[in-house]
Amino acid sequence: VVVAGRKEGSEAERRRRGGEQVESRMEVVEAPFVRVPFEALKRAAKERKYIIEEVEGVMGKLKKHASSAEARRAKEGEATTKDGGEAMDVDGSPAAAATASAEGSRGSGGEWESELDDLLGTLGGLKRKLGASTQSEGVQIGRCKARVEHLLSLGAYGSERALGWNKKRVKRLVVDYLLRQGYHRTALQAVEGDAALGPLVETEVFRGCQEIVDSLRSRSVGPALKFCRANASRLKRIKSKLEFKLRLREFLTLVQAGSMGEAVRYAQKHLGRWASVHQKELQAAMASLVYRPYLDSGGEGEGGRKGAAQERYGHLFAAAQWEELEKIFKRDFFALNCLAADAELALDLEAGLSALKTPMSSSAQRSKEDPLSVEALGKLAATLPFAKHSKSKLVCWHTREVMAEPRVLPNGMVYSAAACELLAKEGKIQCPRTGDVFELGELKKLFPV
Amino acid sequence: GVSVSEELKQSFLDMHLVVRELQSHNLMPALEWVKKQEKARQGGAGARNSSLEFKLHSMQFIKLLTSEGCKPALAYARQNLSAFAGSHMLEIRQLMGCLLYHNNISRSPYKELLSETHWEGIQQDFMRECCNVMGQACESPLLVASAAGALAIPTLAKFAMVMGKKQADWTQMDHLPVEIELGHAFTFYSIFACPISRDQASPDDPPMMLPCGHVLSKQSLTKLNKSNTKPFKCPYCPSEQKFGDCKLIMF
Repeated sequence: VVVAGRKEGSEAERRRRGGEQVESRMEVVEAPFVRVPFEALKRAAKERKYIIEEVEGVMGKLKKHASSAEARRAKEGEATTKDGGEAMDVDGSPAAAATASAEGSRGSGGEWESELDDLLGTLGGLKRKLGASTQSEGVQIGRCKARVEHLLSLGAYGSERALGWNKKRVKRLVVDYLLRQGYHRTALQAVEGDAALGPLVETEVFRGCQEIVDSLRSRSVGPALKFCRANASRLKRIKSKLEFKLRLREFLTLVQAGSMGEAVRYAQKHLGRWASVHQKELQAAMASLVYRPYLDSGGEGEGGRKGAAQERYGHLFAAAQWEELEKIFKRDFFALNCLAADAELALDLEAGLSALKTPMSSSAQRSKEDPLSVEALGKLAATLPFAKHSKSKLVCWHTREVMAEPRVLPNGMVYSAAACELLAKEGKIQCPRTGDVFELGELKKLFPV
Repeated sequence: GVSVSEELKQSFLDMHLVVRELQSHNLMPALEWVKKQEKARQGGAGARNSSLEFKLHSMQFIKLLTSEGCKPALAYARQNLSAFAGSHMLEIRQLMGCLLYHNNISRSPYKELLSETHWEGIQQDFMRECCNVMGQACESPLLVASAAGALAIPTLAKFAMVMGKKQADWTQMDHLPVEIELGHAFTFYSIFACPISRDQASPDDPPMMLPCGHVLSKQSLTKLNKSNTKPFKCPYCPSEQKFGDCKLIMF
């Protein structure tokens, strides 16, 4: 299944690469889009591998029982061994095998029976897990396929078709952004309205994320710790500080509440193993144990100590620390799920607004077609760099077409020859911008190169 | 927080309702909208609207012809298309030709008039006209901005890769470090880049025209003039020019 999934992915990539040079640039833009379900698929496939290994282990044990039962039966001279041996084959009937060997070993006592019953139970459980794993794999494959098809349906990628190409993408980008910011209900409404959108956005993944973020907002670290335990090995691989920070936060909450004894016990139980890795932070937190009482109002004589305590340890108890935790959690969560750290929409807009930004966008002559003339977008673009142009791109003010043969009026205004023809009336021409009237003969040819 | 006026929301809602009707091949709401615009614009330059109105009327004509027959279609044409005789005679002739084939247009030389692309086209045209009237951009600004971004990102990513981590934060720069070709659909203003200095024109450095017709930026012109006391030579054609003869131009 993994091979099939990989083949699909690489074939699509090959198809894409087979296009022009410009088409391969689409990968830079869209790579994370296909990767997310693909990575999820890889994980599901690995899980399946583990389950199969467990099943094999159980089958091995059953075989041992069966062979020992055989030996006993051979000794006792009964003829049911054949059935027991055949039923040893995988897939089909572990239950039959179990009952056969149970029969065979009936003679030798109940303890075999109970062990076999246990193994039977394990097998049943594994079968269920396998079923669930296959189902989730199916879902992920479906999503991979939908996304690859979506990308192919977008068509050629290039500046001539940019607007059409992007129309299909924009909806998905907006929903993705909504999910990231936590506007779950709106995002769901959008997905319900458009069936094709479902497999293209990570509603489930973000729902899980949002639940934990909500719990952190209500100052509870429980769900977040659960997440850490469930993904311990992967978090370790990305060198995540999340669990340490969560434990530290709980410890500091206890200190803040004033229950010093409990705090110390908590620290002994949970913070000990991080001592070597995060020593400085741990030391600061421990010191806060001592200084905590000074942070309360009151204690006139301790004025100096309070100041020092506040300076050095006050920030540990600030509300901003919880927001920090949220950020750290989100970052690690996204990393684990191969999601980009920022919303794709934000990146696109940043790059796009900058590439479109000209000094005229904020002037009085701005065109309503220019996205930067929209107040909200203009604000976003305020700190972005201007676009760089090393070649002239001239557009006739009157016809809004590419300037073909520029003509200049005596007042300095320039229009294309086609525009001049349109504006000409009875041998005279009136400048649309200033209103001055000139003779047609006063037009001069211009060569801006 | 971004606030959008209720009026604007309502105008867009109305527009979408009409478009939905157009999708189910109902032209009446669109025609009503056009009539309303005509009334509001009484006496003004009605020319801009006429091609949309004409298209709507001609599609209605075809629709009547295929569904109800010659007489109603002809009556409709007499009533509505005669006003466009001056500007759209060619198309009107084609529509009249259709009358001959009213029973099986799909096998006539005019079968193209029945195609679905016309319906999609009319929706686009209507939306553009509507947005124009509302003073809004014809294409969604979000769409345009993110399309530009999608084109720009590969170039910027390559720049970041080439420059390494230290200098790669282009968002803090004054000007983008690389040029990004977006194409005509994204050009809303004239941009003049002096061929000599390769700098973009700005209010401090506008384009100037020399008497020979060539254009340079003011700064390049000043530099050329400084080097000689005699009249300087245009860099393109070897004709001599005087500084005073150069004129400020606006594209």
